[in-house]
Amino acid sequence: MQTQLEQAIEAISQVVLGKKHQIKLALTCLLAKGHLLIEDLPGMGKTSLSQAIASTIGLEFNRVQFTSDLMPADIIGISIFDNTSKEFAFHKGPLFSQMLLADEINRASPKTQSALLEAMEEHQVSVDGTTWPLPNPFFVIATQNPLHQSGTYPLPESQLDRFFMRIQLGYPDWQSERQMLMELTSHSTMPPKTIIDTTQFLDIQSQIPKINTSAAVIDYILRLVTFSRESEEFPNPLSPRASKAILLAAKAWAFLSSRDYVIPEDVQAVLPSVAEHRLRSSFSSANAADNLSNKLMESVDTLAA
Amino acid sequence: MMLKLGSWWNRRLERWLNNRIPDDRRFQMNMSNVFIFPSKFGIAFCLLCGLLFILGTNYRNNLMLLLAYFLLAIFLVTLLNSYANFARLKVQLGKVKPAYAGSECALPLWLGENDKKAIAALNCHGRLHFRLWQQPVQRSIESEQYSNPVVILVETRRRGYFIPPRITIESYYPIGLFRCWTHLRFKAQILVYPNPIPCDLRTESLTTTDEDGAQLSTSIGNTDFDSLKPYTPGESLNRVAWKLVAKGQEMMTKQFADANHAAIWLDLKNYLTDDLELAISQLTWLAIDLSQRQACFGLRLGQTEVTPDTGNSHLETCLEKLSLYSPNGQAKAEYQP
Amino acid sequence: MKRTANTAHLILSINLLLLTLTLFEPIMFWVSILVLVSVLIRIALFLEWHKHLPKTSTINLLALLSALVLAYTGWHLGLLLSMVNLLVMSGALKLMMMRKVRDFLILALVQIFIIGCGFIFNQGIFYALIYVSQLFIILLSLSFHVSPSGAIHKQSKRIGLLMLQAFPIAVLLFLVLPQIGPLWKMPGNNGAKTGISDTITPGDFAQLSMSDDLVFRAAFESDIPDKQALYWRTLVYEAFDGKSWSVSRHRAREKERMEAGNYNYSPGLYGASLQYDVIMEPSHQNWLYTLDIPRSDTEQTWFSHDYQLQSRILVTSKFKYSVRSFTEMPLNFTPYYTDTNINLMLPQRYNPETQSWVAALRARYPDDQAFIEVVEAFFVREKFSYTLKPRAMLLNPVDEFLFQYQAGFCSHYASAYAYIMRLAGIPARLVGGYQGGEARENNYISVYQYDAHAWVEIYLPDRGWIRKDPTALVSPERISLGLESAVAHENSFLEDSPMSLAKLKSIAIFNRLRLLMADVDFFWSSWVLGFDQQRQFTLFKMLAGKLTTGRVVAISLATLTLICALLLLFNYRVWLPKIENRHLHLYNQALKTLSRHGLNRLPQEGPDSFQSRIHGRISEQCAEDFRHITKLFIFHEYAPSSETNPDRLPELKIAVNSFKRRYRFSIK
Repeated sequence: MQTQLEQAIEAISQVVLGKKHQIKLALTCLLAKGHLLIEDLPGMGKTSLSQAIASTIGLEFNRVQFTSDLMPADIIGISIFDNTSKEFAFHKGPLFSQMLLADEINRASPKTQSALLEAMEEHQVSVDGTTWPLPNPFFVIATQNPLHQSGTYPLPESQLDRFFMRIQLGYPDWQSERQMLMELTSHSTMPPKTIIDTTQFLDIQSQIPKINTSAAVIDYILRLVTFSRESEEFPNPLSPRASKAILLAAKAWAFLSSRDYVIPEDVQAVLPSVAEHRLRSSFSSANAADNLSNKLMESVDTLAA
Repeated sequence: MMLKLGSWWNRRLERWLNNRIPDDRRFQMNMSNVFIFPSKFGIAFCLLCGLLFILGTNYRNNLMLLLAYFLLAIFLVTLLNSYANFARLKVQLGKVKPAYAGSECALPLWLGENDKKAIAALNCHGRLHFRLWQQPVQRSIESEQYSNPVVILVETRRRGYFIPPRITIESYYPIGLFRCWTHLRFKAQILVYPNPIPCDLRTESLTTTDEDGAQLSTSIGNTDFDSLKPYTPGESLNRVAWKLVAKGQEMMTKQFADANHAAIWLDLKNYLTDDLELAISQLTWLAIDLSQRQACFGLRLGQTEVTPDTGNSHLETCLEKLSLYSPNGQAKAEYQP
Repeated sequence: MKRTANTAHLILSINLLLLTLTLFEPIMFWVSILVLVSVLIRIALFLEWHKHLPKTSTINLLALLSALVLAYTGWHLGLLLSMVNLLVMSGALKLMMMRKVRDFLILALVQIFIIGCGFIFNQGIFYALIYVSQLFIILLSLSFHVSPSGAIHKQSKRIGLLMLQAFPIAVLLFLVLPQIGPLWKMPGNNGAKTGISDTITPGDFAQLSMSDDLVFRAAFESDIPDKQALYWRTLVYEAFDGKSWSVSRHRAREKERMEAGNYNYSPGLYGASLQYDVIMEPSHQNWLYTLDIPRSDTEQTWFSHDYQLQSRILVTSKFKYSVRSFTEMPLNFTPYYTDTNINLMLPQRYNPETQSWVAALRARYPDDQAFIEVVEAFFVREKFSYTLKPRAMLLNPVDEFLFQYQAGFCSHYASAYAYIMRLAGIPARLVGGYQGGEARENNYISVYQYDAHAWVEIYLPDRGWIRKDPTALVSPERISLGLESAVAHENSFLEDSPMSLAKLKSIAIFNRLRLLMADVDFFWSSWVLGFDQQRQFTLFKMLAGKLTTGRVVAISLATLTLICALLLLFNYRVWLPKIENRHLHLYNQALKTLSRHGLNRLPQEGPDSFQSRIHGRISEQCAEDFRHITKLFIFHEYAPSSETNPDRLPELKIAVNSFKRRYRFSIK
């Protein structure tokens, strides 16, 4: 199965060039059944990445562009009164898909945002007293523009940790961008083929929690979260939910690295994506120098003394 | 006279302590910062040893003598046990949340190991008593059952930066013969916000827009339902009021209120009377109140200005400025006993 | 009051009860009841049957009442016993009103002090063990006071360790700190005088012969003399009132004068002698046990004109003294007139029959020697028998004994014999003491209360005082074999104590057990209870040879150093932390080797990333070796252990050790 996953990563990186690490992180997030937040400037390939992932894993994909006038009903769906049958019929919104790309989530009003976040948390929606389950698997990949532009509503701090991971894509390197430009002139980019089907993917997902974690790794994670709680440098300490997420992500990462046990390097690989948005109080753009999760890692020894 | 002597002695003691145990964020107990002396009970215990020795000698009773020596040996062994136990203690000051003047500020102390060993439990046994410098014991924790952090409350009086007083930690482990203690002062500047005093919003201070205070509530929430208008084809079906359709009415479209970015300015000069502190306190209350109602407001304190905004971090910035404001420039940190 | 805080209180309460039990003899019954009630109150509080302490006023009233009763009864108890009772009583009252931390701590100290007092009354090895466990309980209670929610097994372990650590230090202090003599006289124990008393009424000793309590042990330097020679002089009785013999008032006054004047009777002694140490049980009397004629250089002893060795203070705890006895010296040094004056005094009343019989006999045998022979022949000829169950002889004891019943105990014979001699004008007196003893192979003998004996000394002007034992005439086996065989015919030996081990002598295993216990007790008595200045000097001499000031100082310094070293050793974990993870320890050693060459693992680096980072910077072989170590470490530390991943600590150990050796100096 690991080979299939590797193939998938390979296939996706044909579409999003030079971003193998981010692709792996995105897959880690999906394997850990988490929702992903991609934060970057427009035109960095956020949408392509989501699309590519969706088609590789064979997920039903929907994309919603968030705007300020987007209403909760626009994503969830609405009960429309049918004049002929004289009754309400629920018209499912774009939310009812296996993978939803919520583009520029911070453009929508807080009301719409929280409708989405609530659905993400509960894996179901209630409209007019009826509960509608969401499909399984169900992923949300949200993107957001880090610049604090007028007319945007940054996600509230308290709801940021609904996202399992936050990643940034960043500019591609010289080589990759060059290759991208070359390919653009030669042939049009096609969405990649499906490599893993949904049942296989669900099977893989169920194996993630079985990855072994030794006491040494758990202690390392505990040292990390405890340090964030004790030290003055971290305004928002990591919650127990965060430590759970770190462990789960590290497990998924170990699985992607073809290992059946977790080593500290796995934790370190996922920590910036899992913990950074939880450590930061507001959505001030995170530059590398001011990276809190790196600071956390540097302060904590991987080995017990 | 006695009072004077007492305060002179305290000053000397404090100076000596400042040299001996300099301020720090975290402390590991060691020779230089741990004090150990027999407790009252320990002294009584020693006297008992002496009494038994005299009795044993006079009665020519070797067992009594042995008992006296045995007690003395226990005394000696506990001296080292007591110290070795207390020296395992590590204390670190955690994040201190700003407090309002006049209320109590919580100092969270994290005990035990954190960076090197993953030991959540305290290595130091027995009960630990916490108190502020020359105050009665405030908290007692036991190593077998405690959870980090241990919160010590300190009374704050004035706004501004506040350096917390020395905290005394003491232990009588293992059998109460010795008192091991330390006086720690943590290197921390705690921000004390002014004490909020309720007052009315001065209407003339709403400078940037023509709206007055009464309209504050409508400016909040920009996606609230506002009104209905007849449906024109092409509009989103999602906005049709279907419940009205079901009642047989014609199709109407819901209208939503737009965002209202009216900013309120809180300016010190509008509140200033003879009492600067009162004005600052009132501004504090207003800032908190406006922030709770999610209003957009700005703050002007003489030269200092905070541009209008909403949210918690904005409120924090405003409160910090209010705490540190002084008409002639710089505010300084100070001890508050 | 919190329930958790009560654990400490409960432990201390129960301990008070146990302490009282160990002191059941000196403590009055009503005080014990008071203790029991107070402990019950505590237990009720602990189990939350009852929520409130008794009112302070109630307790004050109770305290007042108790104090009054104690003052009344304590009048005849004597100071020491009253003090102990007062201590226990106040402990019980304190327990009833224990509210504050202070009360608790005071009670703990009081209990430790009671333990100390307990050693006045009980000094056996068994009691010592009991008191050590009581001390353990008190310390445990204190430990619960300091850390109320600790698990009991942890706290017990802690206190046990503490006591184990304190023990060698206490022993060192005991051996080395100077043993100084008593600083002042302490109140004695009026109530518990044991052994021979200062008055003998014939028949009295029968009481003593019912007891198998140990009186003293004597350890001889040479072989133990024959039993017949072992007459342990204890007290000399020189006044006779017709019924009882007692210490002469005249003699007592003389002794007081001598003691006050610090005058020690020291006759010139020479000839064959026996050297021995006596370890006596507390008798709460002054007199000591010796063979004639003793000389002792033990502190606090003195010797009087009646050849009696005495202690200057009451023997309230086991007391050890060494004696050299010159067994062949005649007792003829004392001034004639005093001894004869006292020892010819006769009561006018009582025993008319004897008086006339002696007068007649004396008329026929005016020669002293001949008279004595006739009297002794009378004892042998008549059908006198030795018994522990003599008839009561009330009116004219000697008459009734000599001519009516003719059966009696040693004191009957001695009393009659001495009376006859006095009637005949020969100075005679009664000597009380012990005769014989039970010998053990290692040169010591034990003397029990049932070895009590009385014999007679008569004064012959040319020979001085001569020992005469009429009992030996009647029952020679009493002297040669001991009491048990002497009364074998009537089965009266230790009749009232069926469980006594001494009585089970005939059963081999019990006898061996009894003798073993005696050996242990002898060791305990001579080395612990009898450890004194002399023994301390011997020990020092053994350690340092000749005792010069320098050497004594050296011994003291060495002891001090030893104590400090012990104290540091007990806390060795402080500077020698325990290795909790051996794999990690080994891996760190490999890291240390690398860091000699400037390759340091950053704290945030995992083992794998460190290994790959330094890969290019060290030689191929070294990198390979380190990769192997890292792999082993990672497998142990992070991978689950299973059959495919067994613990490979030995392999890691070998790898790390060879890595350390090989790359100590170069990694290139």
